Amino acid sequence: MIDISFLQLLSEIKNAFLETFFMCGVTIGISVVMGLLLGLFIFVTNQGEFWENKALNRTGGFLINVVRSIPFIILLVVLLPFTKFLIGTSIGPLAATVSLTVASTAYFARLVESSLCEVDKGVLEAAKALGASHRIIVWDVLLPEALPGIYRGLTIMTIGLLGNSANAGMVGGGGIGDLAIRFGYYRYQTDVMVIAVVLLIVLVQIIQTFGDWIAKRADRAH
Amino acid sequence: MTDNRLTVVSLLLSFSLLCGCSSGNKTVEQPDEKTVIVGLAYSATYPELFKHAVKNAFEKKGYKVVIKQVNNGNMLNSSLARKDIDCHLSGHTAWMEFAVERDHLDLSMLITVPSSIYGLHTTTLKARNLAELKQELKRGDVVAIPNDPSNLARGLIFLEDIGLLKLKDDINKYYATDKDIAENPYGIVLKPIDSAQSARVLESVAFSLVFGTEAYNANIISSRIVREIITDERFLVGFIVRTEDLEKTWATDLIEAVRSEEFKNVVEDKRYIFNDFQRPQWYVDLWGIPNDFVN
Repeated sequence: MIDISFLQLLSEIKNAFLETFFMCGVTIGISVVMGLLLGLFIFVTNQGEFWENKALNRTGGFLINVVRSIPFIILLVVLLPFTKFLIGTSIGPLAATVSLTVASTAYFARLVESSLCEVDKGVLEAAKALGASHRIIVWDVLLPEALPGIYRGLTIMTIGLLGNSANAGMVGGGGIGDLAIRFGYYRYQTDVMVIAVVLLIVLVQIIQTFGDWIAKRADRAH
Repeated sequence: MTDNRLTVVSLLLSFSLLCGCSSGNKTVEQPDEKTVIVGLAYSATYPELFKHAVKNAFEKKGYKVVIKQVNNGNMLNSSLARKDIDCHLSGHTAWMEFAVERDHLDLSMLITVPSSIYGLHTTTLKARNLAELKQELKRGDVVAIPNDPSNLARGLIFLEDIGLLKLKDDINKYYATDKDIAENPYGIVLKPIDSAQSARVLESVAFSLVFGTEAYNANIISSRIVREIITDERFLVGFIVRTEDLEKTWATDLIEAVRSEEFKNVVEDKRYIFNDFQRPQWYVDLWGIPNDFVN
């Protein structure tokens, strides 16, 4: 069988690492902002909240549910024409990023909404009673109170994203997860697969530890 | 508090923009006359065939080859139609025609290459050849077969050729499924599975149809007792291009690279597995090396 030399292997791992880094970096950057806004939107248009709007809330919620219902690989395929339109190609790490961003935005929006719902209603009532405008309540009371939960949600989303990016191999996105699949599943080269999985485990440990630390700091700031 | 959040958000945004810019210009190449983008699927060993046997010969003609590798070839036909790649080496004509008909694409086979064949593998039965296999099979024995449309049909045709079943007469054989079996004298039960699993399920089935590339990767060649002899060139893998590109200079040069001595030397090299593949008729005629595989 055609074997891969050690140097070639190192180069494959390095490339895979850069691809994962790139895909996750761009996805996180965009989906954090969009997911935060979307989650906020769902929360404030909810029943009993100050910008209550059943129609908008239901539509937004429905859209998020639809995206989250579709298995990621199907989402990847369905978004291919849009990806081609947006970035000019449907193969490569950037192409994979489009679908990853859509999926992560929907996921993060729900996590943000969940954190916002956890905020003590009493604090919001107090702010309202003090005559604070809606804008101040949202940016200076609601969000800071929800920040630890949002950081934890961000950690959860990132690690989920790492898992999803393994499917990026379907569109030539590469990455460490795809490396494990390529060598472990298709080529029966278990040793390379183990290396890739160990790398992923290390990455997840780092992300989780960092996320926990940031969330604890935000916790203590209150 | 607001300052912190603003900092974090802007940091995240600039971080992702940096990532985007640094790798972004590499992902969308500027196409030009001398750049050919080749799509390869990692699930079989054709990427190696291309890299070892074709790439150098083709680049010597002055072309710059850009390889886009995906792990499963199903996307490559639509990518080709969408002009993300110029050609790909990951499937046979029957498989291409399936995608062409379903998605209304305009693709053609440029030139075929030595291709992987089905092997009938068993670890649970003691049979060492076809005759013994027919003796040993019992009613209800489960048989694993790859499940993608064109290869499922191909597997059924293979089983029909070796006399294990008979397909209906009035169907298009290339679209045959396990529902199109007319006679099943040995009473085998077909279980379509993902082709990458075909080598892994050996312990759970009577026998499994495994492609040559899988068998070599999984190191199970010794369990092969019957090999497919392709009589229909539609099941030969080759370079697939958009029909409009068939007459282009790079396409003609690619054909020459495949018909080169360098290509033949890699195929016949005993260090690789390609000498076990079925050779296309043009190759047999050109180099005089026959497909003398026996069952």
